[in-house]
Amino acid sequence: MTKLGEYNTPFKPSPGNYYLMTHLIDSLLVKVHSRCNLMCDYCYEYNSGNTSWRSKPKEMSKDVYEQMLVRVKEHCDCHQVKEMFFSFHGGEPLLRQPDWYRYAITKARTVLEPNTSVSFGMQSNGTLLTMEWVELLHELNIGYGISIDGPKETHDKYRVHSNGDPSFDLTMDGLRLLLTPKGRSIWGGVLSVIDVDSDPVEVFEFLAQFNPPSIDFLEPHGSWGDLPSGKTSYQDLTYGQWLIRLFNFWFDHPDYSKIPIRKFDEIIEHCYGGRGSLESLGLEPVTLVTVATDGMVESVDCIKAAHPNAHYLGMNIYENTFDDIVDHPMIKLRQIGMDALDQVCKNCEHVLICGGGYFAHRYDPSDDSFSHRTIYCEDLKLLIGHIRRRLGR
Amino acid sequence: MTKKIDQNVLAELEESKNEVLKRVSEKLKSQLQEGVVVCGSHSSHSSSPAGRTHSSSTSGH
Repeated sequence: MTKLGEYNTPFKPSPGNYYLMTHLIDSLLVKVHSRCNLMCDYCYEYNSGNTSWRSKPKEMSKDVYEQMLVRVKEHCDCHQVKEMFFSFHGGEPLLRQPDWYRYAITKARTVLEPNTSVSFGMQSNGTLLTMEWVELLHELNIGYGISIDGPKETHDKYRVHSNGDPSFDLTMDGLRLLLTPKGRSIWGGVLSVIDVDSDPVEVFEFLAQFNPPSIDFLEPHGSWGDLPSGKTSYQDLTYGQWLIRLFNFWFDHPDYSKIPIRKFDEIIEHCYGGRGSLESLGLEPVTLVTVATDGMVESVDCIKAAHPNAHYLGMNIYENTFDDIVDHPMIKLRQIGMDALDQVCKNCEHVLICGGGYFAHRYDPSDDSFSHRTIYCEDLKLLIGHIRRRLGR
Repeated sequence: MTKKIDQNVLAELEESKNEVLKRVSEKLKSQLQEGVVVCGSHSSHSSSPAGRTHSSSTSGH
């Protein structure tokens, strides 16, 4: 069992919340391949200073995967977890061979069902998608999310191959396959990283023409010691302003607002008392962990953007159960709601909606701690305040 | 503010002509019916998990 105090992240859990917290994991980010055929400038895996991927196996072995399933079953049976979700992630998950997915889905269902139903998704850059892949993913019922940042000029600014070659044309080849009936049946949504130099309406209109089932716009990762591109200072409101312009266009145009923008839908849901379903908003506990190709467990993979070893818990699926893992302070920090936040957040009128902002964006190297506001705090206050005014909430 | 779904407000949302508010009302209604607290998914994922979703993910459950 991990002991408090062994880690660098100082926090004082409220005993009531800490000890009574239900131990529950119901989503796993499964790193099936640790490499990628792209080298996007903002990537938290390869371009954030973390080099742990170099020493990881390229692929998750069957042995690691099956041990992970043993731990998942143990956890689900113990806590009566009825639904489990595996997100196949990388790197680029389509670097795995198709047969591996046949094996992985069959094995997971054999081990977990009927007590726990298991569903699957993957997040991919789209460049390797073929019709054969679409048919396989359809057959195996694996949801597919594609990452595309907008029109060619915006997308190719950061999403490039390691030699600098652009990826837009290849990504579009993949995206077009999602417009076929089988493609539509597996398409879960679009992820776009925000480029504040782009026009938000142009980017949205470009993506909306494909009528995706959902879109989310993500802020680039950063920390208090390393602000992301386009954010010149903590007070800089560029991201908030970009998002407000997008929100107004989307919210006021019925043809467009039928396409969910996840961030906005979630904020609105929280405004009306809902619990949301996204880890980056709200105070509800996060029930997701990452399993790397070597079986090491990370709290959340993108936390390595904060500092190179932030993801390291010292736990793995051979030596630790998921009950051990949820007892780790870095996991607990994401399950104790308000107790993980600083006083400024606790006093903020928007705290139940933003939940302090995305955990990966709260790191301050000056005290080596995540017990801070997100670097996007001012942007979020601007955006949430605007949405609340529009809703009269 | 407190975090509570108001049945009267929910009824108003259901009647709304705004696509977003109607969509959100469906989610709120199902949460009221389930009556359970569920948690959050990864932001780097866009394939819609039932729990709390990774932000770097949009692919579905």
